[in-house]
Amino acid sequence: MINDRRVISVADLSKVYKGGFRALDQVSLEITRGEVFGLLGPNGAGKTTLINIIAGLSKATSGSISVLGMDVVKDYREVRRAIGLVQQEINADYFFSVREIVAIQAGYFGIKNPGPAVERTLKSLNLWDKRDTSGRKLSGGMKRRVMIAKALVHDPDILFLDEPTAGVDVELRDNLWRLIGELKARGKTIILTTHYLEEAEQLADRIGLINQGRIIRVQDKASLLKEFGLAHVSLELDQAMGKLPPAAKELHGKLEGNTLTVNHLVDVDGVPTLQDLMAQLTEQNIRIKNVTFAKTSLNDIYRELINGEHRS
Amino acid sequence: MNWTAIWALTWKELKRFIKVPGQTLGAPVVTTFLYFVVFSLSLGRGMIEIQGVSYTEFIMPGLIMMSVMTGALSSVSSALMLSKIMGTLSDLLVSPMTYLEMILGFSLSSVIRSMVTAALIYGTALFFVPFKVEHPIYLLVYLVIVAFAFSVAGLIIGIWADTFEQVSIFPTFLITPLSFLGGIFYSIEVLPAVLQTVSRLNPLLYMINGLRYGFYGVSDVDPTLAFIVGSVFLLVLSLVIWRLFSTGYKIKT
Repeated sequence: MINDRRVISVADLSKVYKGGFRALDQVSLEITRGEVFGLLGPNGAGKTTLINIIAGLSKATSGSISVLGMDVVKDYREVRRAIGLVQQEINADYFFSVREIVAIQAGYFGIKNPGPAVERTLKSLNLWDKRDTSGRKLSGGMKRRVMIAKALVHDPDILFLDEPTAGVDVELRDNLWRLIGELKARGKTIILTTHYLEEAEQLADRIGLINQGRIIRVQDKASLLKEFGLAHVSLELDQAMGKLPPAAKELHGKLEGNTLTVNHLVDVDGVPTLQDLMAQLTEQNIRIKNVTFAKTSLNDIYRELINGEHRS
Repeated sequence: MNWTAIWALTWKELKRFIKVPGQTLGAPVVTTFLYFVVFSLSLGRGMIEIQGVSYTEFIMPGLIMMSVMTGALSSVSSALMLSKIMGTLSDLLVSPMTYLEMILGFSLSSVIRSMVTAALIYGTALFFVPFKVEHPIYLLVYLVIVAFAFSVAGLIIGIWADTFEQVSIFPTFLITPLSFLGGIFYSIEVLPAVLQTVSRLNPLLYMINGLRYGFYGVSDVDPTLAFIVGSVFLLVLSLVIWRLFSTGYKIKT
């Protein structure tokens, strides 16, 4: 049953570039139908290499990948029909209009009469008004949107978005986030890479942490965030506490003298909120003298993981 | 074979070509027109005849062939180079197209383009020379084979090159000199024996003379041999490009 839901299986994938740089090291990963999977890692971690190999832009040194049960090398034609890739680097064909660019891409996928598919795709991305604009005259954000149109025109089941919001303004970022939600609602499986924890937190159902070519953790978002928190809140108390209050325990709290540090979470079901914690402190007549708030960075998570403080 | 995909690529490249007509159609026609004017005024005027045709007629096939070879090679190599620079080559690589389909898509556009240019040059030449085609089928088939071969050569260069400078080396430093030395303007019969032998090592000699045979039935080389040279040229280059694509040379990291 679980196997039926598996759309991508990566097994023992390694990639060693000429000169010996190991971009991927024995990566194994499974992506489930209909999920948004966030591949989270710092620059140079191997995110792009991984999705480029799945999409056919790069060759693996060893290991295997199957997409919808088909091998990415042997059955590449069927696999590529199932995949849309939006690359990180913005590209645009300067010679053609938006409509032509997307129609040509549809042609590469063997779509005989691309008109309707192009129109549907451009409209869904609010690009229809720009259909006759030349690729040369598009703004960076528009180019990004045209790239998404190219990736979607053949209606793939699986969409890869490589750092979709890198270098885009807030408005476009919000648009993209909304679009990803809509695509998920239409049943697409989406794999996005990002180095923003916030983005993965907003969009992903599951998060894979990748560092130096290795997947170091794959976990559903809620439990990952519960473990690490979006931010750490330090409460300076007016007296030392003997033991952690119950809410603090669940928030991975730590006591050091008068300071209580907990993970701060937003909207994670079944997890106590800061308000619950404060209520428990008030019950014990403990007053808060000062509060400091530090957003959890990806680096914090890596540091904690590498220090082995968290084991699950 | 997915002809829809091949045609999408061919059409794209043709359209790019139509969008800059001055560069792609105007330039070769003007250049050839100048050759005709200069050579027929200075040398031609019906006085000089080579192998039974007037001098102006004699140089016409070679000029067409040079333009076809240069055009076929340059258009594909710069198309590929542009798509590398604009980053659009990956759009092709993530598609389900096979390498053969990609090679055909690029080459077909270039062959079609070369045929159009050849027709335009011939049309221009008709102001100077009478209409005369002795072996039309040989001429057409041969022109297509050579255009195809040079398109494939353009693909090889486009993949190999990292800069436009590298792309421009071949037409300027290889095709033009080898065409001039390949008997566009003279019959190698007028050369000393040693230079005749050396000339016979130049594959472009066969291509130029092959086309001249197609037009007038005259040639410095055996037309069958010319046909074989053109075909072998196409075959060898096709094997090279097939190898480059299938190993992902400079295309896939």
